[in-house]
Amino acid sequence: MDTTKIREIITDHFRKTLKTLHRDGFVVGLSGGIDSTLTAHLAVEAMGPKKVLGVIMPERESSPESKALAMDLVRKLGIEHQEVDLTPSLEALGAYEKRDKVVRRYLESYTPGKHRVGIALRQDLTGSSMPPLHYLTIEDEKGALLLEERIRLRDYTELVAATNFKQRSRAVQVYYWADHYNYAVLGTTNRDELLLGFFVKLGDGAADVEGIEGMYKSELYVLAKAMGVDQRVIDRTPTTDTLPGQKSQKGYFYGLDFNTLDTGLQVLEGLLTVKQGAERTGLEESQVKQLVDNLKRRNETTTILRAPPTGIGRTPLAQYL
Amino acid sequence: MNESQLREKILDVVCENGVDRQSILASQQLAGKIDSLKLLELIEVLEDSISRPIPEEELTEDNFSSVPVILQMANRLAQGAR
Repeated sequence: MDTTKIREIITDHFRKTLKTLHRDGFVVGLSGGIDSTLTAHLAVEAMGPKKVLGVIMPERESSPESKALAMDLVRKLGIEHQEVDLTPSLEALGAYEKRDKVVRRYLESYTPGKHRVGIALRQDLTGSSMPPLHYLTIEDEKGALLLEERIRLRDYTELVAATNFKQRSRAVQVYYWADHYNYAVLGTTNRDELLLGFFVKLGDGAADVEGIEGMYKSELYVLAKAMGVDQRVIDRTPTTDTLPGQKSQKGYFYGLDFNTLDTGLQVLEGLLTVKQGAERTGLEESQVKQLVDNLKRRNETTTILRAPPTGIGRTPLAQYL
Repeated sequence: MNESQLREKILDVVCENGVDRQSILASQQLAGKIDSLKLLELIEVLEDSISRPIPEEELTEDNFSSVPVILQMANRLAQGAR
């Protein structure tokens, strides 16, 4: 992987787009994870530290490590930052309360702060065409599993709707600061998330400019290393930091390692053949085909997240008459 | 709910987005044609029809391979409950 070339392409894209958008710099929400950290590095390489603002948005359930790593990044890059505690706005929106109402249907004694809620997806992506089943998980403060139960459809959608307040509140804040400084918002969605719909529309998917959406997750690690990203960020287990019991993105990504997932996506996108996919992962060709079929279905069913508002086009209606 | 009513309910769920009912009835790999939310909905329809939860071990690709197979599973589980 030619990391020098990739850096050139992305930073050039940042500079050109900013000019087109008539904005003076970039805002990026910093989570202490590899996606936002790498994006901030690229933004600074493109524009210099004075044209990049980091926004750190902890809330009462986010990991303290997220904030600490984001603060270290701000210092390392020498960029300005704003810290906004999202807890009051999430409380006002009823985000915690709405979620907890759902969780109590499964465990009456559920106590936020003491118990940690998560969603686990179960699917044999390389061996079955069965779609993933969603399970609600609740752990105690020591991490012992108290409950793992298949979640009902309406409970699931209600829980997701409540949880999505978090990503959308982050988007509200980064856009506030973008308007405040006449900056553009830099997105941090990577290719795995983009293709599989692992982002919230108008939440973490809201951005003016994307930098890493052309890069698979495993490629990000290579680029991060080449750019001198903090090793603690590289080594950190990826997390969405939205549900307190959601330990890792791997759970969202069906328990697959990123090499296997990325290989499947590359086959799906026509960058590798099934045979090459099998060689790279050690899977049988039939397993790679199954994986690709499942990823394709996931990609199709999340079309709405990537789609712009549907209409009859941004042209005068008169053209259709 | 009799078998014919359940079949219609299953088709209502699976064909909600304009999917052709005949093609679904003929499908031998239904699990590959529905997404995770449809699967959750389908499981709930089945659980309501048999008035009991479907055991985890029954939630397999084989048991969801076609509409007749799903109906067989529902019948089997309903009889087991009696």
